[in-house]
Amino acid sequence: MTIQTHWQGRRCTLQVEQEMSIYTALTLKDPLLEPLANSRELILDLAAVSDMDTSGVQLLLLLHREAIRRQVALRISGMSTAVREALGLYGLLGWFGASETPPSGARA
Amino acid sequence: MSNPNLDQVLQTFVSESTELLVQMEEILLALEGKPNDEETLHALFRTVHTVKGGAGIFGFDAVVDFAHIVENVLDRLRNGQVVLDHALIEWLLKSRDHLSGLVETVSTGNEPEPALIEDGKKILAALAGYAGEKHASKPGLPVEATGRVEREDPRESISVTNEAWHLSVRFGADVLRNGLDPLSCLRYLGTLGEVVSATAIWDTLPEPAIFDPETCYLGLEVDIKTSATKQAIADAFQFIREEIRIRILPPQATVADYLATLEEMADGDAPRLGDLLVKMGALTTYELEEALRLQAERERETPPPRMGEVMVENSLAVPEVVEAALQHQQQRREQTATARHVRVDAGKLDRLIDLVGELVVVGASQGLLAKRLGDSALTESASVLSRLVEEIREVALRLRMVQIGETFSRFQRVVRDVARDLQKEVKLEVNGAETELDKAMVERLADPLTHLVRNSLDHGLELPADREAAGKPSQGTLALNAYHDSGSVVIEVADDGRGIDHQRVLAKAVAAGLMSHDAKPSHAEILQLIFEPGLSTAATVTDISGRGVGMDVVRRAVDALRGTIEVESQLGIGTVVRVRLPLTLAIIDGFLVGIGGSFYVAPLDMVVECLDLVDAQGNQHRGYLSLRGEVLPLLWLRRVFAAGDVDTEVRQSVVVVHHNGRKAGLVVDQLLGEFQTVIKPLGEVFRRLSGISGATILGSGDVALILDVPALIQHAIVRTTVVA
Repeated sequence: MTIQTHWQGRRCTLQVEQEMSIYTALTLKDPLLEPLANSRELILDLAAVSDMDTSGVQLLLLLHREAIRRQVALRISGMSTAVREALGLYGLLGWFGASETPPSGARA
Repeated sequence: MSNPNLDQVLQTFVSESTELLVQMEEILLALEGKPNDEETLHALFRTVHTVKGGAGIFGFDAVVDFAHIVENVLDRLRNGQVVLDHALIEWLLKSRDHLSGLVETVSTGNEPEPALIEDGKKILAALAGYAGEKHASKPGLPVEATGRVEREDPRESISVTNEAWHLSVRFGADVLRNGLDPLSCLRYLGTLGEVVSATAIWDTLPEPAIFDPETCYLGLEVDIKTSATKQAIADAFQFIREEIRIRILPPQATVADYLATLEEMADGDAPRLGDLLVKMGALTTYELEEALRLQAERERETPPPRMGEVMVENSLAVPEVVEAALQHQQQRREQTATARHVRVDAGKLDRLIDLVGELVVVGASQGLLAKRLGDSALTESASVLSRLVEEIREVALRLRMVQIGETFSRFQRVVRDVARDLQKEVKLEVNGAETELDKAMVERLADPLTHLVRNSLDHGLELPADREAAGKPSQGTLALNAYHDSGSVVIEVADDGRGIDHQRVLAKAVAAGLMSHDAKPSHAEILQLIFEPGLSTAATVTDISGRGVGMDVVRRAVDALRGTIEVESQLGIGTVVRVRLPLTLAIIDGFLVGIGGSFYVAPLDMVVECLDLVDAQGNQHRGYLSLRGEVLPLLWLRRVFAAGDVDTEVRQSVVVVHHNGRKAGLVVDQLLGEFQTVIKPLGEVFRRLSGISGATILGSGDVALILDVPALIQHAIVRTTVVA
């Protein structure tokens, strides 16, 4: 499992360093959702996601909805080409406050 | 037609019409077996309808008027008002031929000849009975071809302003689990045109606790600007079509269409989905309001169907819808298969092949120069170049490859008509229709093939009564087979008819002076005789139980294609004529030899082996040697081409060549190895040179002559016989 979780107070940064596809979907769900319980701010670093398919997109959407419900600020700090393409195709690029480079301090 | 663009469109019309009419013929012949197949009748109608439409654009009234009547008959046919019997099929086939004639005539700018017009009148008179009086009396009147569904409310047929196609897709739960990714559909859509907007629908994502990461919960709304057809768009979802719900709305679809989509796809929350469509630009706010208002009105007027009931109804309707959709898709896939092709002028293709041919030669020459210079970087670059040229050559040649099936299927009609005339029962079998060969070859093959097929029908296959008497099924079989065999294409015309009587062929051959009295030829050799000109006069034909009509003509045609022809036959069982052709006409693999200072190329497939003349056994000066106990006639190419006397210093080599089972040894000065070459035809001046079939340019710039091996073998054998 290559999801690294960094906590800084109530801010959690998740660094996903593997593919987000149907092959890994089952193992991704919990690590992605768990931090929501204790965080105010959730930052996803997807710069090292090698591959993303519809199941990955779906997980992000679920995360997005749950984050809103629990009033956690969700943001994507980095996207690999695969992620960018998948979200782009689904018309979701603007949904996660995504930006190419993380704002300074985001990962500190 | 002075406008070149129009000329091109006209060309397209002609070639499309020809294709459609071929299709029409195929359908008619298929229908003969199983009339009243509804889908097929539709397809039949479409062929004529499309030809009529095209002709209308060019103002070819003669075609339009005639097609119109035929169309009427076909329309009544598919509506069940007319029964398709054999007589009608016959008339429809004649109509097809007539249409084909008309298209050909008018497209060349000519007026139809009186005879053609008379023909047409006859056919129309016969068709009048089927067409229904109303239509027959007024040809040429535009008629609404398809029954349009009456809409109750004119507002429903108002078109929306959206100029993009709108797709509404809901994926099945198991899509992902089955290894299918809707993303790839989206990617494919992107190749069809410009995806204006795409929005994921994810309202149905369940609570986290029960969210199964491997289940697909998503839907999609997509707007795409494309010139692709609806089926091409639908094909993007072809692989997952069984697991999706999809609606495809054309540009400027009606409000009613969108309403239907909203009802079907929104799972009860039409306004919400509607908002989304507005947001993505598929609908304007006004259009959405209109649609929703219509829905509300309709609900008030009719006993209100609860949304739940609608859903149940919908889900009940699904299996039928799916089935219908599948059928359509199947059909459409076949259509799009042709739609994806690009029409290219055959002349342009030939020009390309020519240029590639030149490129092969220049590439070889460059490689040679590079080697001579000894610059390793240059040599390497030249070798890369030659590899690429090789690839281009392969691809370019493949462009010209067409499947033989199209040619074969033309014979359905020939077989049917000829068999009927002769009162024979014949079934045509086609095998290997997908075998590909050079287009130019296919075209030049049509005539000899027709010859062979007619021969089989006429002389090979017996009358039903005779067949039964011989203990065979009354229906004879004529088979057209095609297959690849070690670098060449083999085409067979086989029948299970009466076969060829060897003895009588031999007797005829002896009588005609083609064979000496005491000759003891093998069966195969006797059969090969039927391709001799002397045996193919009409008088002989009937005598020699069958074949012979123009068999020498057939052989000449095959020879011209650098092919070979052979026949196998067993009396009472059947006959197979086998035509073996090279894959392509333009380029051959050759074997380069040197004689004096000149170069010659023998087609590699005719070269059996090479020997050193000194080591060989036999009396070389008398013109033969013993090759493993076999007498091999020798031909000194130096003498044949008057290249001077043999230089005794140079060790001579023998290239053993074969053709049609006969061998000869060509004595040459040097063996220079395999060499791929582009054939250049010889000019008119050299046309009558014997022993040479063409020329080519070597990489060094030298000219090499291509040896006409069959002629040389013949020459060698005759010489040896005379000397001996």
